[in-house]
Amino acid sequence: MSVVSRGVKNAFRNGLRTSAVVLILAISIGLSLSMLVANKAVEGRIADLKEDIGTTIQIHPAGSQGFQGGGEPLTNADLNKVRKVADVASADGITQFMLQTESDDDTSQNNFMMRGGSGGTAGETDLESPVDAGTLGQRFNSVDGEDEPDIKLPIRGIGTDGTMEDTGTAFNITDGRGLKDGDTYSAVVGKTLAEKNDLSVGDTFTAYDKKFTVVGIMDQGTEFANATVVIPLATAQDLTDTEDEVSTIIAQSDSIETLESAMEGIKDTLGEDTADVTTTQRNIQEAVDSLKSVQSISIVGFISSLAAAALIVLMVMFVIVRERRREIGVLKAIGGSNRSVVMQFIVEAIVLVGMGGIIGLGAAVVSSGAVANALVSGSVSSSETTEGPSFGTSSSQEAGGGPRRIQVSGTGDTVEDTKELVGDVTASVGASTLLYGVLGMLAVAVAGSAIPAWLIAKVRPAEVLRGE
Amino acid sequence: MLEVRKLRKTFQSGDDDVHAVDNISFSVPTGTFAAIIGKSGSGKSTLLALLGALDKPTEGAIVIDDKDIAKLSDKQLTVYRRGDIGFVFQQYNLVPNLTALENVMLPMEFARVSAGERKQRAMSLLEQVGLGPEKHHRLPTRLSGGEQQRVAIARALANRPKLILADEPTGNLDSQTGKVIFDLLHSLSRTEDTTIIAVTHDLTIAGKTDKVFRLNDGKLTAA
Repeated sequence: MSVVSRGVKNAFRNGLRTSAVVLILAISIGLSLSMLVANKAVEGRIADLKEDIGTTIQIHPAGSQGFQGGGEPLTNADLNKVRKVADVASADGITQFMLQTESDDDTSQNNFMMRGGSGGTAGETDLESPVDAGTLGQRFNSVDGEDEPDIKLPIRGIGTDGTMEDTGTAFNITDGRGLKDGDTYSAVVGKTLAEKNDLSVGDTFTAYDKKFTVVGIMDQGTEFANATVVIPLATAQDLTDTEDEVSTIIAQSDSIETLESAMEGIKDTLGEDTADVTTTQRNIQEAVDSLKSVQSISIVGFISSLAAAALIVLMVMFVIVRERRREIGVLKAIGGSNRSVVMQFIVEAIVLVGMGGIIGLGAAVVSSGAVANALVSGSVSSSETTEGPSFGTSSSQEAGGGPRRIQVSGTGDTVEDTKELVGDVTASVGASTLLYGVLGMLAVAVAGSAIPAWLIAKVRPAEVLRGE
Repeated sequence: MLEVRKLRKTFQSGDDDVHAVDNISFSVPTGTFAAIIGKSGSGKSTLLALLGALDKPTEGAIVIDDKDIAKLSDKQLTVYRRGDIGFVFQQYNLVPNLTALENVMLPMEFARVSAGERKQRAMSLLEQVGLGPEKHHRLPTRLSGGEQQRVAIARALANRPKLILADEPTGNLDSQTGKVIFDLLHSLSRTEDTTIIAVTHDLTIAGKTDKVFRLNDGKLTAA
């Protein structure tokens, strides 16, 4: 019989006590594993959200966005300044323009365009918008409450040398290629625009009296963005007589960590009266902060539960060692070394913790998802209440499929619907969690045995003769 | 040969020093069955603990085969107890959740004897002390006092010790069983060529040993 089998056998010496100890340890270890699983799940969700945050910074002329607002346009010089700001990895200029479908009747479309804003001179094209004007289009086309004749919607154009829309959404090329250096009258067209006009890669169309070749088809996931045509920035600036102007600059910071400092650098460089500098980071950061607080709670919960388990083991082993003090003396008297006697008790503790751990693991597998979501839900709710009162909420959808926002009237501030952003946290017991769990349990057993082991080492074998 | 020279063990009792063993010297030739007698509190068990390296003397030397165990480190004492000493206790002190066979195998496990060899020797020793195979796998609670003491004696012999120290080995047994156990120890001292020192109150038993030491207030007096 080895020290291990003796330790295992000893663990079952007192069946009732063993059962009670194992049950308590199972609860404690189960809770700690649930916390660990929740921690891992939240960690994964944070990573996902951070990916969503990206490193994109949008820069618009101060007081203007797209075809709305006013103020002074951004320039190529501004673009070059942004490129030199610390923590900015890259910056691309974008200019927007409108294309009107060629028609004998100019009136209605010109009226529409004039209300469209600051995209430079509108150009004619042989393309047709895939989007029907519908109620919204007609409403936008009304002047002083009087309906204008039916219109054909203009086509939105983007001029850029970059790889993103002005919303920061990357072009998703499904056929052909994106634009590249050296392209002049090349274009990438949205999927629905291509379908409407029967365009494929290699086909041509006209705009601003120039013949453009379709080099790629893109699918941006929304009808709005898929009705867009993308051409090189310089070509767009030339055709719209806005050679030095960009309507949007899309910058990328070096990393998520430097996003904030890059934004501040851009604001300082361009001046807040020149540019509005925005990112989706702040809104998603709130969700990340909520999740990080859950992560902290789960770590504290994990450590506390493990500490409680270690304390239980400590108390139980303390009692066991006191009970078997004489037996320890006998073992030492007949030649057992401190090490071999201590090992026997550590094995006993490991067996108790192991049994509690197996049951606890089963409980954690069943309950960890609920625990994780309960933690997240509780934390998100409490973080939302700290945002202050919200009045008259309404939801709006950003172009390019942006997340839902809650508009807080009065302040003009936006508060992300954090709960929706966070979503459900998927918790699963993975191999790494199991490994950490097993290591944690071993640590509990060893930590719980440490003081008893010290007591064992202190037992002098002479004590076996006392009371004889 | 066991030789004890000017051995002293002093305990503190408040401000006073109590000499449990007070400057005693004696020697016991190998293969001798010796008895230590004396009243309660005379220092018998303390002397036994010192001889068995269960406790360290305050002064003096305990020499077995030219080795002074009073000068050994704790680790060396463990090795000494494991290989050179066998203990037999009044209350048997068997490990309660191990069978008779497993109890006898235990000291051999500490001495890293192979599993096969220790089982074979344990069975042989149990036979030698008169415990048949039907009782080898019984827990101590299912053995009589005499049988438990036989197991304890077999356990004491497991690592072929030079010295067996018995603390009131018949103290918990009826007179008939006590006599059987005493005779067993006596015969083992002959067959195993082992020195046996037994602490006893029983003067009849002490009278049958080869040598008797009487302790009085920690001092050795004439038997």
